[in-house]
Amino acid sequence: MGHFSNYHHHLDHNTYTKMIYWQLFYTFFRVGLFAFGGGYAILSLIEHDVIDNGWATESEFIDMVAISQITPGPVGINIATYVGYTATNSVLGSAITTFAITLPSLIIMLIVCLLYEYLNEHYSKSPYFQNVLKVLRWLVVGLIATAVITLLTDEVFFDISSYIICTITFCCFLIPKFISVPKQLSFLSNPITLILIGGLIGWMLYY
Amino acid sequence: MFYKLFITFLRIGTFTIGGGYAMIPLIQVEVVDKRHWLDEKEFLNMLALAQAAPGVIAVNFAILIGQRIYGWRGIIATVTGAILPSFICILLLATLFRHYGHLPLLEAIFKGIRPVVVAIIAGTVIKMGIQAQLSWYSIPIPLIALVLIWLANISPIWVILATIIITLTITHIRK
Repeated sequence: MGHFSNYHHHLDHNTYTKMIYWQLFYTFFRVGLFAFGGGYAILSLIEHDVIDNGWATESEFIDMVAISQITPGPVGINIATYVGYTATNSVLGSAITTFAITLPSLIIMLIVCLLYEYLNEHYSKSPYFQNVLKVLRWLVVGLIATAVITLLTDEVFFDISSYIICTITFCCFLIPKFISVPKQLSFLSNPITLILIGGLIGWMLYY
Repeated sequence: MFYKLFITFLRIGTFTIGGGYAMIPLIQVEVVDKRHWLDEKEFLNMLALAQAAPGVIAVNFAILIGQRIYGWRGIIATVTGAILPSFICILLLATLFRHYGHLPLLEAIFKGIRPVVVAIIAGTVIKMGIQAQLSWYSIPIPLIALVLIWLANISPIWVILATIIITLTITHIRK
């Protein structure tokens, strides 16, 4: 009897693992297919699935975003690799998510290559193309705003300093958009610099 | 050629931190200025197509450039080159954090980083809103999307699909 239930347990575990790989593939394939507008649009689509599937908590997701920002390479690929690893604890998971987010690009870009001459000619003139792109650019703003709301958790904003850090960073990041700042100070609005400074402040405040 | 393309994109993937948009100037230097694989105009045309398509822009761009220069072998060279540094770095870091993530020092550092990341994403919302030239008649679109996804818990994928279909329909009717 004990042997039998062990066998069953083994089977269930196997099915579960396979399911997670399939789910990861499906999620990231969809993201590759529907994320218009690059990096942050990708984040806003992934976040929903990552948190709902329990692959990471909100805070863990933010940590992944931070690490994806400050490591080399496209943020979308970084976050895919990271989530794949965290969700399955294996390199195979990373390989699947990275492959899955790249596959739609391969398919779509091959079509684009085939129609390259035609697209170059008509893409800028077609009202269908232009309107869809324009409206999607508007839509993405809403998608990313939703992602921000989801990330406003008690674990992230757990004391007064975290609110202050957030507000100051927000201003630093946006100021160059509205007023001209000297070139020597422009590094202060760079996300990488801001993340590193945040880490430094965290070290001084909480360690 | 395969090797040259691979190495070029490996370098592009290794030395661009902060994502797709940081990669574009470097791709331009390597592909247009240094190696003359493409001319300026072709480069810009391809960039526009890569940005218009869904997915990771840098990967889209790498596929287009690889195909143009060396066919399907070019695609394999540029895409693996662009992805490999990311893949290796993240795996190393993820493994490290799995083992050392609970050290008080790292916890403290990330407590400082989290509000920064939220601020950067929030700031990006504003920046993208300005770039997309949101105005009084277009602002309901992101707002409706926000309500649908956040309050009605509808998957963003459906919202995107619906938006595309509605936009195509309206364009068709107006025509």
